[in-house]
Amino acid sequence: MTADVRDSTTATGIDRWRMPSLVIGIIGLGLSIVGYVINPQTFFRAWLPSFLFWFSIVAGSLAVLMLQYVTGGEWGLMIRRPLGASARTMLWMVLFFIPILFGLKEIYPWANTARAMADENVRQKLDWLNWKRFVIFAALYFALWNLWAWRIRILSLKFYEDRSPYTELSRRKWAASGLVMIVLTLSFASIDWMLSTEPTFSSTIYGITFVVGCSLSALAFVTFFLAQLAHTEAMSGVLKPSHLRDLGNLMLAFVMFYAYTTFSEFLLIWYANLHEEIPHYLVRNGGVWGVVAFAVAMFHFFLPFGLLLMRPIKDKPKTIAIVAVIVIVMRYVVLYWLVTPSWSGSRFTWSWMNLTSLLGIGGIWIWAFIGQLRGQTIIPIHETWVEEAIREGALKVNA
Amino acid sequence: MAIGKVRTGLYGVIAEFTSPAELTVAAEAARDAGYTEMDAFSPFPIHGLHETVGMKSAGMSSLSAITLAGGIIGGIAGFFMCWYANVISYPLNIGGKPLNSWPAWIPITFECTILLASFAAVFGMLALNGLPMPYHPVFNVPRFDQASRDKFFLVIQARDPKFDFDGVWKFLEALHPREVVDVPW
Repeated sequence: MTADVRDSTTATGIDRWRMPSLVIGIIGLGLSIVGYVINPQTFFRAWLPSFLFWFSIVAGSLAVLMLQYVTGGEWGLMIRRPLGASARTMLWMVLFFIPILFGLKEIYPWANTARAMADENVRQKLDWLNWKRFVIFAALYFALWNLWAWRIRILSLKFYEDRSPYTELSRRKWAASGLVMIVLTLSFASIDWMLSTEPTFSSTIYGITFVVGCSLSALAFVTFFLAQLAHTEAMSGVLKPSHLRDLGNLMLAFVMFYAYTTFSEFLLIWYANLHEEIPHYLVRNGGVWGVVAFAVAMFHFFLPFGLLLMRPIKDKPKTIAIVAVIVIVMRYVVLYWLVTPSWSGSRFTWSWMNLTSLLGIGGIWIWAFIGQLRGQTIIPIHETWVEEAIREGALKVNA
Repeated sequence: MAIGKVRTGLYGVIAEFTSPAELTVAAEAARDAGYTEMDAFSPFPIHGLHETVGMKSAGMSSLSAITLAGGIIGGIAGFFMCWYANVISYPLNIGGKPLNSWPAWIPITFECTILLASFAAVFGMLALNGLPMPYHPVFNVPRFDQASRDKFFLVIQARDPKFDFDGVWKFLEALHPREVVDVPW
């Protein structure tokens, strides 16, 4: 093992992306602040989908990381470190969430009490949909997510020191309970943050759709990230086609799962044809939004589904990276399509502030993500079974 | 597929190994030595071994095409069945919905896709494998039942163009197997 393989950020060359990301992030945030001065309403309504997009990668990373610690398996070997780094950037997500608290009245119709009281359907929900509960619950969610992300980090570091199976067991217990925690909290968060932009609408499958979407975002992101590293010296002989294939298969599973839950929601609402529920889809299926809906069906499901069925595509870093990019782009499109029509109705809107907030949050986030990766190897070489695999020759590490 | 025809003579030479790693190494050595007609037996799947012994890798085999065809036929048939029943054969106004209410057909279409794709995969696999196969020459090897427990076998067939009994025997012996046995038909 050469010295520079130890620090993944320098060995793989990703460190050079750190400063450009920060610069893009600061420019993006700066322009967004200009946007806030010009039109606060547009600023807040652009901020929410951008925040949700990057948040979905971070939250999904924590979920997939805990899944890996519970189940084990070589599929997660190469992505443990990137997932962990991504999950620990949850602290930054707290910061990016704060503007939403200041824009409650612009983003959520229920926050405007006079208007909310006028609608009987919304008035009865005000015990839940009010700013005090919204803030307290958001604080609770973030506290839990950060607690688990850092607790797992601490246990991993402790395991590196003591190599005790009890430490590993303890981490596994945290991960298992964390899976229950994150499915519940993400469901509630999606209802609070996304669904309540349209307080007249309700859907029981909305939460799990968001959880699945987050996991898909995270898997697509780490797959893209790994594929970019595939040709660096640090990864040669370590990253095998089967690793990318496993990730491709997982992406396939989540692409299908997402399509399953979203289509179930649509089918039941379409079939029941109830007055309270159908406006959600009537708005999102007409005009330009209808074109977006068609694009979601095509590029969020059919295209990645077809591509991910083919093993030659999953095995090669270049081709799997293209699929991952398609999925990541469509993740933003689908979040935008879910949230924005709540305000604009059937009229399609897009503001430059959508782009600046997306780049602003994203730039800072990638900077923070690479910062979290610093000072560690990309593969968790100290884990017991990894050592075993290296010793038995099942896994070759550049020595 | 020689039903009713009794074959005599030598099927091949088989070597027994005690670990999957040994079997993989042996198969690679045999491939590098130029043998093409060989087969490997293991209690569990070993990644990459089937390519080494000269089978097509998954995704390139005709089984993928058969499964895809089954899936497409199943999907079209499932959708057509719903459409025909509701639009042509027995049109019925349900809740004021259009007769061709395609969203409602999707679950059936999906299930039929999966059903026929699975059937195509299973029966296509059996057809391509030549299964069920009640007799195979390797059953003549006394210890071959160990192949479904914890032993690993590599057989080089007599129909291999490079086959010569003494040469193959020596080649297999050199790989340090547990034992080498000849396999009669």
